[in-house]
Amino acid sequence: MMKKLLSLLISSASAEVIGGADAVTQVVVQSPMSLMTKGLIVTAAGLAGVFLVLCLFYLTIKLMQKFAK
Amino acid sequence: MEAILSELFSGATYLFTAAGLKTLAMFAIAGVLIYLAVKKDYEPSLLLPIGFGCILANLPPVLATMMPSALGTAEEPGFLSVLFNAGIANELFPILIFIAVGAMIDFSPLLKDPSMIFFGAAAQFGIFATFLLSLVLIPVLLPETAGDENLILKLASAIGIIGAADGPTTLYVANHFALKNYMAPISVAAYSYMSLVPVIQPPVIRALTTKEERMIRMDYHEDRCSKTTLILFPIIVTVVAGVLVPMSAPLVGSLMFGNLIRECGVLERLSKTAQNELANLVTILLGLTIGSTMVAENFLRVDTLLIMALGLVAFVFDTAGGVLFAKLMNLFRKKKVNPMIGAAGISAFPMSSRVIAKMALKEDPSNFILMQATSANVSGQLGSIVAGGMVITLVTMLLG
Repeated sequence: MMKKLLSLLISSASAEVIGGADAVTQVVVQSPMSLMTKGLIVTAAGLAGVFLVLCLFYLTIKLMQKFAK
Repeated sequence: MEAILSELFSGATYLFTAAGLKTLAMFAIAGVLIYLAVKKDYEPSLLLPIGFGCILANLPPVLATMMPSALGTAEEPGFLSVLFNAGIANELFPILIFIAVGAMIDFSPLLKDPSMIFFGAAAQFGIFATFLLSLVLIPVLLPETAGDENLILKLASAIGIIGAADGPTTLYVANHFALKNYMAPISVAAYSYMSLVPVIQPPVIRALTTKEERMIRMDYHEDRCSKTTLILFPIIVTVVAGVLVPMSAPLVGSLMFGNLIRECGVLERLSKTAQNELANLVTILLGLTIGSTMVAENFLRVDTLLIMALGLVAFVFDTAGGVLFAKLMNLFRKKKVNPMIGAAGISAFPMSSRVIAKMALKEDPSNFILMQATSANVSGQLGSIVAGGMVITLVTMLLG
């Protein structure tokens, strides 16, 4: 599943480079997936993404605190 | 003469038709919203315009067009349709509201204790849990969506986001997925649950914590953050979020722009305008416009009940997610956190932090945790925007 998700993310990233933001909406998932599989992918990747981005904010604040000292 | 009279009183006779009864039901719903605003003081700046907008949108139609004059027709739109197209359909109002909110937010409590930021992530759990639940329930309870996987995914996304208690982000997601037919229940659920934070959160928190846990004290140091840090933070956050989750850039960007004009120290006039005039003006227009989507034929449907119910579930799950994450953190921390702080990781700012601080004071009149709750609350603001961006990006990628 992770492999599938990674390939999806990579394909969307390349589509964005080639065709801009609109192209992302046109990426068609080739292999048919059940609704629940899609749901689980969104849930896992979404939660991980939120934690990752906020973790980066945390590190940013920690770095700024270090430089301020 | 008879024709003139029937035309003159067409509005009154309309109320006694089947459609008129629906109108009366919508008037009753509008009345409840206005009552909650005026009598109960539940977010009156939102609920009152929403209630009044609902009345305007459900007034009997003009005979010539068979549409309420405030809504108008496609050829000659009324003022509410003009407002919808100008502010909601193109996401302008949510963006403007975020500039105002950004100008009101003080990130310094978070910058002093950045570990609170993780509550802003944990409290987004409900969004994704409800998203999954919606994927199961929507095809069963809304037969008209069966077979249309794209619609189910889009609708589940917008319903899940309601849990963050973040009206602008919910509107942003619903609008991105062009869910115009579902805009009324989604926006009403998002904004009414935002205003019902004092009613919904306390019982969930009490159910998941013991009295001892609710009495945990937390240290707070009064030292001030450097001005450079306060200025750099919104810029860095915008760049990081914009690079990693491009779909969140409009919301994060506007929130952080508002915060930058507050913290830069040279735009005090603009900062005050954003906090007061801009916030008030857009709130009035946003409320009226949301109310205008509550047309009887779009609102008095089974899907409204489902969306309202799932929105409430999302809100409860978000609150529970934050509290349980705080309890989990306490297993590994030397200095325990008050688990109620986790519930403030939702986006409803500053209601949620105030409610949590009030609850702590109720348990122990000398326990002040407002600043820590505020840290978690502003993190929730960031977390819900990032979650909204993630949901849009991932769901868009998976649409068939």
